[in-house]
Amino acid sequence: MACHARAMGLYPEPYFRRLIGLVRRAGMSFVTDPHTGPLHLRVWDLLEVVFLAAHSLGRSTTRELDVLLDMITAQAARVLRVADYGLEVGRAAHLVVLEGSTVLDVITPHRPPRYVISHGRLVAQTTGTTTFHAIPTP
Amino acid sequence: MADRYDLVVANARLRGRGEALHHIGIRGGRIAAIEPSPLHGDAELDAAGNLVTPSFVNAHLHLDKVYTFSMAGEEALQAYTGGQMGQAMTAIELAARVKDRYEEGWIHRHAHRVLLDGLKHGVTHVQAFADTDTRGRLEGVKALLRLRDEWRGVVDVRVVAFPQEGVLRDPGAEDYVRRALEMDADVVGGIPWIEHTDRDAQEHVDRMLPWPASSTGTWPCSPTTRAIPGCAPPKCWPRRRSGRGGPGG
Repeated sequence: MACHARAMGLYPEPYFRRLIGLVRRAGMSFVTDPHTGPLHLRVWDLLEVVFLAAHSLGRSTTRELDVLLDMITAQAARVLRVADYGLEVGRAAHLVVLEGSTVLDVITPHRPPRYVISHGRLVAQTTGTTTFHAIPTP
Repeated sequence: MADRYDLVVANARLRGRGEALHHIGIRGGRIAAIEPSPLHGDAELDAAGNLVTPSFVNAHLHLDKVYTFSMAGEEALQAYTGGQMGQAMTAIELAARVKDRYEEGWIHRHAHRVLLDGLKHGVTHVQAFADTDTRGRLEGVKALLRLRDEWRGVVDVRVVAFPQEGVLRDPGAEDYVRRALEMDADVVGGIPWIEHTDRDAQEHVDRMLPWPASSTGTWPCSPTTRAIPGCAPPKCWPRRRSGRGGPGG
């Protein structure tokens, strides 16, 4: 796999296309520079990476957001050839229970998952509550 | 209900399965059932209609460099994010200052913290790069290998021995990479473009890609794939020394 591959952004279009053909033939995959922002902060928060990518790449339809979510789940697992990955019977149980019922609902606030399950065990649980004081009643 | 599970995730919304909520039964660390009707488990978690997906995979994390922001200095950052690829080299040189202070202890502490941060955000698989060269020596590799073994079963960490400073430009780096593999690093990385000439870049690939048969974890690469960085025969995680990480850095 090729990582970063930032120079490709500078290649002239015909050269770039020729390269992509070669890459396809070779069965190579890419891990691009993540959109972690100039400060390279929160590199551990992949939903935030998705959120930033949606903005910087102008991706907002359901289909496009699905693709972005795939990039931090199924596609990344494919690139790394993670065995046994995926939400299917028989696979290893690596799951997240996200905050939100649709991909858009999840990505917009990109809160930490409610539950994280690894190898079939609960390994992280996040509860976030805010209590308001002295607010006006509607 | 005859079947009983170790853990059940109830009322999950799943992508590609419509509006109906599903129930996921887990047994022996594996997904044993995904059903529209309720399941019973020794433990149960209520997804409450929220989306459930596979956990997240971070395919590229320089885990030996996390929390070194203040150590690298603003100059390095500016060079990297200046928008000009030409400055990437400058950034790497400036960031390399940190490596003169590399020490297994603090790298391990920082990296441990990031695995926790990641886990909170759903990351259960990480491909982690460790600079493996005459400046970083084996400090990063040692820290990340220890971490990998400590976290096994919770976060799957794959460690890449990565000669960030080049192989020809940094004589001795190759030996560090070899030693990293002997210590059970999973993947060999490379960064051909950092070498001075195209010929050297090719040499870099030739040395890093088909690792000499004398070392551990060898990978025969066919003559046709030999010249293509990162082209490796398919292998599955978590087999150790399983693949060749391509150019990175």
